Amino acid sequence: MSFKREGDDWSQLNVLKKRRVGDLLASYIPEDEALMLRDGRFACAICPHRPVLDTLAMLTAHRAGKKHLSSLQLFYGKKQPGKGMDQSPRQQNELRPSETKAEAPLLTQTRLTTQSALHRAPYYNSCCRRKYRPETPRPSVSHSPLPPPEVEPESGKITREPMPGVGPQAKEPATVSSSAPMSPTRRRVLDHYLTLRSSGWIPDGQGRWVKDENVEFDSDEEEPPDLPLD
Amino acid sequence: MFLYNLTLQRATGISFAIHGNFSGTKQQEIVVSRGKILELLRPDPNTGKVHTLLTVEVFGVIRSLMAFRLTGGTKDYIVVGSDSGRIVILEYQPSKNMFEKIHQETFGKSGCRRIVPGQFLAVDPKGRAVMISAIEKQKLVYILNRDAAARLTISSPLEAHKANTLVYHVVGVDVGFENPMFACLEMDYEEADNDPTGEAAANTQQTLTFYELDLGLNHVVRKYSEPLEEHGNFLITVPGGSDGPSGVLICSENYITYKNFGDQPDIRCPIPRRRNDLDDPERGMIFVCSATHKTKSMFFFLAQTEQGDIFKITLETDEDMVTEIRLKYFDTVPVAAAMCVLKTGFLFVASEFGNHYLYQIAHLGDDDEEPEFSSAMPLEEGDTFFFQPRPLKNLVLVDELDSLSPILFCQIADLANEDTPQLYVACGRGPRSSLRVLRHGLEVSEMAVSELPGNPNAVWTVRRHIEDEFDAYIIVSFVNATLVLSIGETVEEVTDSGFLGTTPTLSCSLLGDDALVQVYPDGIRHIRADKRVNEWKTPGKKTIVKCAVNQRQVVIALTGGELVYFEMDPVCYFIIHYVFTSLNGVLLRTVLDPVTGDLSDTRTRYLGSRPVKLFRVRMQGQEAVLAMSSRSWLSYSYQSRFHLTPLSYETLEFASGFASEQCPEGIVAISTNTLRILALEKLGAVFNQVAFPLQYTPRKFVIHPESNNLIIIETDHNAYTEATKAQRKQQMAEEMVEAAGEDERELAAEMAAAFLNENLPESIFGAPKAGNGQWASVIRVMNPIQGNTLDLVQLEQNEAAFSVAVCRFSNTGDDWYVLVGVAKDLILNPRSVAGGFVYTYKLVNNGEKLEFLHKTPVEEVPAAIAPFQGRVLIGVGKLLRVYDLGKKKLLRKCENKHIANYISGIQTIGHRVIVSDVQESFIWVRYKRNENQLIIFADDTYPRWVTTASLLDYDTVAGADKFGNICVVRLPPNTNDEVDEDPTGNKALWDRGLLNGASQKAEVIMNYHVGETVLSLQKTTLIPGGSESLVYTTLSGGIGILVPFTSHEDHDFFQHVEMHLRSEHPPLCGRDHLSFRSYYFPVKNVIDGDLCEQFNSMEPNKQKNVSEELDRTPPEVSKKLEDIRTRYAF
Repeated sequence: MSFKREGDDWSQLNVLKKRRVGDLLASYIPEDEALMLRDGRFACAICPHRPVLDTLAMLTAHRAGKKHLSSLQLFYGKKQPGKGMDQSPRQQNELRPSETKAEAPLLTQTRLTTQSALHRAPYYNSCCRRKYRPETPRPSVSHSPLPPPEVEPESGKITREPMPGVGPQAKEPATVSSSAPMSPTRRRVLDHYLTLRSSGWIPDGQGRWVKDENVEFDSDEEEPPDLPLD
Repeated sequence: MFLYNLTLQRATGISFAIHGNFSGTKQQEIVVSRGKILELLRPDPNTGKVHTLLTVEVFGVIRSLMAFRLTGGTKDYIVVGSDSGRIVILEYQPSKNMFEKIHQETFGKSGCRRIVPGQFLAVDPKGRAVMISAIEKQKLVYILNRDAAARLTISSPLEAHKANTLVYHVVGVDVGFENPMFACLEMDYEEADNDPTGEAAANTQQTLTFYELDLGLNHVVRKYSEPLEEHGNFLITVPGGSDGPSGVLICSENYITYKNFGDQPDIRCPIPRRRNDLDDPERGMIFVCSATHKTKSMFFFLAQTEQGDIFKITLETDEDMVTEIRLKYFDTVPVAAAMCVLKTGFLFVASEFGNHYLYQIAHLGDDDEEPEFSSAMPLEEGDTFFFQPRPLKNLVLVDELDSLSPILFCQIADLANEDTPQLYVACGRGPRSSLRVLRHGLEVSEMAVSELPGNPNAVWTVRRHIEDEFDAYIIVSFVNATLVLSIGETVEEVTDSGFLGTTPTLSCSLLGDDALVQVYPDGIRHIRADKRVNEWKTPGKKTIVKCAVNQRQVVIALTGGELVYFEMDPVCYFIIHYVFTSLNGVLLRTVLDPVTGDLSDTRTRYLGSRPVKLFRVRMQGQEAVLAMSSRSWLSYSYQSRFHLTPLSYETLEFASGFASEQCPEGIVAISTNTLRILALEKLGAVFNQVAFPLQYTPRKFVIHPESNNLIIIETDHNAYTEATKAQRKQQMAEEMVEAAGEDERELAAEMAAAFLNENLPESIFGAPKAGNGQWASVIRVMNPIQGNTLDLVQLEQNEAAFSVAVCRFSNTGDDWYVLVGVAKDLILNPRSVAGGFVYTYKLVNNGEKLEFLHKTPVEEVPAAIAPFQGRVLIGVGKLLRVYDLGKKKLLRKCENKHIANYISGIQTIGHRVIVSDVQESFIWVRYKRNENQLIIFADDTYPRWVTTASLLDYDTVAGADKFGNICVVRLPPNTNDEVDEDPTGNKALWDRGLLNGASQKAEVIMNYHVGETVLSLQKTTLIPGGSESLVYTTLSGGIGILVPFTSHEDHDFFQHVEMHLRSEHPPLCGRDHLSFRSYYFPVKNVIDGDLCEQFNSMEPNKQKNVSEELDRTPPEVSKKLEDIRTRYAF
């Protein structure tokens, strides 16, 4: 069996070419604006209703839609309230060339996009990667010892909205700065949070922990263990 | 990544063994097949040792093997049936020490297929024809003859096909010089296939069919076919013509039946059973293998049952009519795959599992009290004879050939703190299993050790006459004296040898034909055969400091820098092929050109920290060099390859060759104040092994990192636990007493007591077979250095341990725990399981004792356990779960249900978990602590039936499958771990299908077909300071490595060597090398070192051609081959 294309149907070839380029360009979607699902489909992380799309092409089509664009505004408005004017990385990218050179904006833009589309290194490697966002002031924690749930010490990479039902303060994105290392207390709190989560405790949103019904516990284990003191 | 495959130790299990005069002399040899290896063994009739003469890898699956001899010939040929779709006839050439392919006839497609012949071979006992048969339908007969130059000829094939017929066994019937006849166990399934009610299938009978080759018509006819009452499993030819009654013996369940043409009635005799056997009495008994012994006056058969009992079968005849079959219990030996009775009175037993044995037949069992069973004895239908198994009486064990087969598991670590890591190998099956510790080195057998009055400096042996076979004296030199020992029946001190005893000796040797010379610091003494002594004294105060002596010349170096040269008659010239030199612990081997005196092809090896001393010794009739540094090494040539192997022995100081009647090729050596006589018998072996026996088949073991103790799980199917065995024995004893009448009560009680006290070692007599679905297991803690069992936990009957892990839990501090995954009431076919348990033990007493903590019930078989971030991952059937240690059981914390079939292994690195599925290759899973979820993010594209896996780096996994392939797969660099579950919540609808693989796929880096099922893989270094390699062990007992190429030049070179060898030196059994290595997946990025190393056994002109193509000389090529081996291993 051969996968070599047969025939000389140029229009078909052009369609394929276009799709290929589309695929390449479409992959330039900021990581936090889409979720990759384990079955290979994509969910839009911008739209609040999380539409699931089968292919990259469909995601791209969706991203060009009106609904998405309005959610995009809403999303970035909400995501970084302090910065007001901030745009998505893609918008920034699109903006930059037009600022520098106005004669052939389309050409510059295309060149830039193709460059980044064909740029194969540095590759993603979850093992050593640490990508932090700029620090934003963290609102004070009022009544719960819960840290934001999204922090994973190993990866530090966040692509998700917090789970529904998590307290409002958890809506804040991770705020660990690479410049300021985590304080030991904070690290301990974080560790404790992850230990509790991974042993099957779920925060109920009111600052209390409830048992996950799919997880087994010792019969005398009623309350989650307290934060260890050292 | 390009890899080079090297075999460190070839497979040791034997699948077939045949015997005959392959070298054409009177001496009988044995040819064995070890799967893809053909080997020629020669048992030495004097010493009883089995020597390997030749080993050839054939790069194909040997499916049948037969010896045949043309009528009137004296030399046996070898017929090989393989997966090549060809019949191959080989002849052993003793002068070149190689198998020569005489004929190779293609008849079908390659591969092990149903209707392509190769599975069965039968030869006409008179050597006129050979039949090669497939499992189904096809049979071909080739006529063998001689041409005018007495060369063997082979005809075109004659077909004896019959469609819809399965074949169970084929033999050549001995009909003397009538038309050749073949007997076949067949089953015609045509009717059964066409009958949808299944009635025909239930009534289908096996038939015994005779095929006759009509030599006049050049045609094969299906002569006669007869349905059989019992289902036969194999046939034995009965000698015919002038030697016996002809016909065949059919071995079937519980019976052995004699059949022949004409008026001969069938004679049927039940197979005797062991008295008071713990086996299920309903279970049938079959013979599994047989050997025929035939002399001019008599013949008999030895047939072995599946319990290992050998029966001697004789036939009573009355004018060419067989009247009676007689069976007599002979002895019990381990169950064999093949047996050979040699003319010299040896019985070679190629064991099914474990070591192979050579026995001497001391008695034929004719005149003893052992009862003889006969077909003429009246017995009810279904009744049988009973006998009492006993230790060996007729056989005497003379040699044992080590076999690791089957290797179930292996770990490589330096647990003994010896710098060089040891291989800990779990091997064997049932009660014959063992844990073996393999160390690189040659095994040394100590023949004698004697203390001396002081610490000697040197030792020599001398013969009395140049034509003497054996040495006469051992000369031991001390600081101020010389001791002379004479070699006879014993070794004794003598004073009348003529040697000067009051001075140290520098050297001594045989001079001329029958004189001796002794060089000592003050002079040289020449001792003639008649004990007259000539002496030469050093002039003045000078003394001799160094000397060199051979049979005609003596050179001495005096103090003051003077050299004196002595010679006998005109010097006859003397060729040294190799010059060995040593420098600061490094051995140099170089070729000396006898004409020009040039030194070339120098090869160096580092031997140890002390300066190297070299000694010339003889090994298997060839020159060898013993090199002594901090370790002793032997450099020898074995099967056209140079070996330099360390001796697994303490440090020696001086040595010399030694030949006596008891020990024809020994070494006499000194170590501190002892004189030792040593023998090196296992030349060619890379590893020496120490074996510690185990109770059941070892499945896996783990190493406790703090104490280095091993925790081994041993599990056997079809076995009783000790408790059940004792209980059954008690029950049988009680029944015995109850069954007896009033007056026999006392006798019965005595018999019952004797039965209870009887203790036959299971390693020889086998363990009782408990029946399908009966399991027995133990968990053993063992010290791997001493081999002593520190703790032993017996599991209950029908609990089968499948997985083990040693780990720490983050919520319990520094305590170590052992987790054992156990299946309950597992039935293999049709598969059913009542559930499983995970036993949790705490390791106490510095890792020496197991303290039972709790037992966690699970739904399926927990076949894989791996520690993971302070908790454990357990594969329960197809469920992947995270468990934490609880107070009363393990607590399930997280679960993934999306693995396809059955989790056979778990590897972890960071947050990644790599799960091997029994059928669907690898699945990469990510644990998300934050959400307490295990999410599949990548998998493989090929269906691999993974047996074992090993991580090579963060993205790369090496795995092996049950079909004998090794692969390396890697996640592409842009793989994203951060995949999410579908947030829309309708995943139940979409994610249900099993075909719903992960979206990201691994890439294949390398594929290679080893040809033997690989059960362990480990990335490790084998020699201190060496580079890392991937070590694998196979079910057949082989050990091999895959090593990476470090330069493109090397890779290029070896690729060309491989390419040339493929065309210049095609595999022996006719299988194409490339297609063999690509049996299941196209071979990728691996160069076969085993093929490349066959360069050394090619004929010199071909070697020259190949090396010219590579722009090198043959020594350069073989040096490169040696270099890559020594860089990584031995």
